[in-house]
Amino acid sequence: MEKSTQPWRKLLYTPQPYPDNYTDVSFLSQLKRNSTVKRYTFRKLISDFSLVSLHLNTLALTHIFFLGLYSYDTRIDVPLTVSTTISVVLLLFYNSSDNSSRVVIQDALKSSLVISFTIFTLSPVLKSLSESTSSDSIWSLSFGLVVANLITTDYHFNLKDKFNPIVSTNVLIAEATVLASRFNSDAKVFAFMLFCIQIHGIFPIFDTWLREFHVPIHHLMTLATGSIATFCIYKMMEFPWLLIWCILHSTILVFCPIYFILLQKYKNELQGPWDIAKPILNGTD
Amino acid sequence: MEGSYKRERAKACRTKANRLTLPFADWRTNTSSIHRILCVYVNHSSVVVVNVITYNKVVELVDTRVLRLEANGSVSLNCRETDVSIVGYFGDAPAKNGSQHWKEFFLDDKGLIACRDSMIVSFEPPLPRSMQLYTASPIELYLSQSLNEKTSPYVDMVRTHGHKRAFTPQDLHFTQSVETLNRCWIKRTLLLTQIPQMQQTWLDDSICRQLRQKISQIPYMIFRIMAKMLKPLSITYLYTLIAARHISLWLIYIMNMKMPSNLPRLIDISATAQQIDLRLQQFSYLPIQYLHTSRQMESHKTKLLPKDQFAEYIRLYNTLWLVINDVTLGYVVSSFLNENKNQIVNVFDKYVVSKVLYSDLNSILMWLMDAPGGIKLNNELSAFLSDFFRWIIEFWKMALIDRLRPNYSTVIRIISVSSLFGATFGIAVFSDMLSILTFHIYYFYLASAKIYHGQLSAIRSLFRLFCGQKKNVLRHRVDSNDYTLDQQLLGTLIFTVLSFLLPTVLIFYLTFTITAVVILLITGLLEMTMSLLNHFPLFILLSRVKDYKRVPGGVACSSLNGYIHLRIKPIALTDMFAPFRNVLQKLQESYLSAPVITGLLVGRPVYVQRNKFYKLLK
Repeated sequence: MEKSTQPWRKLLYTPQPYPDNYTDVSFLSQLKRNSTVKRYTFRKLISDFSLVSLHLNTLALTHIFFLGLYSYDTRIDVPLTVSTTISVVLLLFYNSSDNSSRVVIQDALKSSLVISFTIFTLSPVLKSLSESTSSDSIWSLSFGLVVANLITTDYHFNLKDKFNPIVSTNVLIAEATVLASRFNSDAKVFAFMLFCIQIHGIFPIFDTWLREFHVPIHHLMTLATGSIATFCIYKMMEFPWLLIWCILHSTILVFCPIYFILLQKYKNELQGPWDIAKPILNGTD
Repeated sequence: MEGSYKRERAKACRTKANRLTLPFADWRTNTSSIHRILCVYVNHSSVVVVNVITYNKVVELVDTRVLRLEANGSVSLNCRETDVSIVGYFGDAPAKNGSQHWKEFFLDDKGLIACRDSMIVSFEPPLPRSMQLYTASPIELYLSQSLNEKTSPYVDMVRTHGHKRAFTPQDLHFTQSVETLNRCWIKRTLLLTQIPQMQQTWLDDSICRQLRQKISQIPYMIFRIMAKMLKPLSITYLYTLIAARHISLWLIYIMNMKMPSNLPRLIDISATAQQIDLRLQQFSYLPIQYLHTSRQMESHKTKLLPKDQFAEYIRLYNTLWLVINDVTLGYVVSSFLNENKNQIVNVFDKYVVSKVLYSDLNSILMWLMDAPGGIKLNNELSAFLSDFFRWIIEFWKMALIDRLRPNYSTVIRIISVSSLFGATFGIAVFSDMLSILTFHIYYFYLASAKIYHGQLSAIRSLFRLFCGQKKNVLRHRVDSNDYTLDQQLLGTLIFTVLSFLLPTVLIFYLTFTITAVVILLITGLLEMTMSLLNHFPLFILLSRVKDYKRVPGGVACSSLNGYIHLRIKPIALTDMFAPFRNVLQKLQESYLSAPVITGLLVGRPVYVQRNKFYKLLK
């Protein structure tokens, strides 16, 4: 073909001395690949995945507490004191950072008092709730509820999103109620329910606030809960459980971020000064 | 005489009343010496032959003043009745003038009587005295409109434009033609009374007709004498009747009175009150009903009941008959109860009250307390509920049964005495007594239904909270909602507790529902017996058996001696039982329908409004 003196222009309506199937080198010059794709750093990924780990830690803590109360008859005061102290301290911090702190403190106090007293009153009822049911059905029910919680949990990776984990929290509270009904004393029921509510109901809200304003404390909390959970598993359960626990955590904290970064190379987002064509299948839009 | 719908009905008179026959065979073999004139009654273009005059010469008829010779040479019937006239002749034309408007009847090739441009249909004349009747469609057994009831124009509109088959002009014409036949006998009697000479021309095959006529008048004479003797009494009787009617209307008003508070009416709770109400209503309606039917008959001086009053007539006699039956049965029941009083009291006390209602119920409650049938219930709750109900049973026994036990024979006497007013009263009193005896079970059912229903609805709304939703009652939809932490936690806690307690409550609810339904079925069965005794269509059934022509279900055509023969079709069994079947359907609707069953499942208390069934039949 004879080389044309006139350069090719991407204009359909002007007659040009080029054949119909001609493709110029400059045709795809405006194509951009992965222009809006965010590249995750390993650090960011670890801090995100640590949220999953944190959730697992809190789950583990409540179940360890249950196991301790149910099987080993451990004292209830130490864990409860620790969790309550942490809750109160966090509450104070949380409120002091807020502008209309007085109202918030009043509300929080009122809520916590209402919850505590209700649990206190309901604990005999809860104790007798599943008395005639066999333990196996309770274990399977609570396992199902934990699985439902893991599925529905909102890990809240993006802080700008609204954090409203209603279903997952409710599932966990129901599970705690079911487990609490296995205890033989009212005090244990009360302690366990209070502990669960502090850890699953109040702590996630504080944690969101911590992640926004006091990131180191959030990391500290993650680390602390992880260590306590690991220590308790080491102390109270057999070695295989500890191994499974460690493997699970290392997978979540190390291998999953690495795998995620490896997967990033498959990202292939195209953008250009054109509308993206939508293929019409079977003649219908 | 033109038009496609004009029919003629030659009458084959084979009636029982005076055994007048018009043998067709004669007509065929006859020579020219005997001629006949057909007198007819015309109504709406259909022509009914009511009599036939046989003669040798017209002059004889004119001489005996059967016929009248008009000025222009034509002849006409010598009577004042305008709608009976001569329509035609058989044989020679009776007069030179005027006969051209008449029809000529002749024998066709097959030897049948025929007429040009008209069709001949034979029929048996219905006897008004036996209340025989031709109708195009089955007679209405319902009152078309209750006399007291005011219907809205909307209801009327639905009634007329409902999914019935459209009424065509042909239908109307046919109906009118068929109903013309009912007047045949009356017109004929009128004709014969006005022209008595006509009888001499009849072929009367009965010798003792005169005697029979005399004998048939004897009851009337007796009645007339009685009426004359009782006349002074009748005024007193009338006033007594009016007073009794007013009293009964007052009683009805009292029983139907709505109390100022939300109490139910007396007839809603008591079968006896309902039965009394029914009888009083029947009593106060009876004179009106009687006057209605008899006055209608008298006003026409023909003893022909108009078709629209037929339902009223049937109901009047059905009611009377059923009341008499009921009282007779009541005497039997009463004497049976009196004779076997002791055995009945023993069986009732031993098996029904002490066993079923007390010890069996107690043992069921005890059984519910500890894992019935392996179902794991909440021990504390079931123990509480079981204790609670057993305590009420104990109280019931102490307060009601222990006081009633020495007086069982009195109760039986009450039932037997009330049976004297009719078996239905006995049944009603028994049903009420049963309701009072099992009052506690019904309230157990209501209480457990209330608990169960409350728990179910609480679980439902808390489940919405569990999912972070709430019901928007203003817009009838479910919205998502941000609950505060304490609402959420407490809601979930209570939700879990209620869900765990639901099976226990459900078991108690089921137990009491089943017992209450069994009792309800027993009272329902008693009620059905009552409605059978009160509303069984006995009169129409017996009329149907005795003389089906009294209760026509339309007309049927068949071939008879080569003519089209129109005869009365007896009413179908389903039509006869239609009002009754309706009640049975309502009974089934209120005991065994989808809303009732869902109500039972959800724990909505199910009430049976027995009053409803009676409204249908009133």
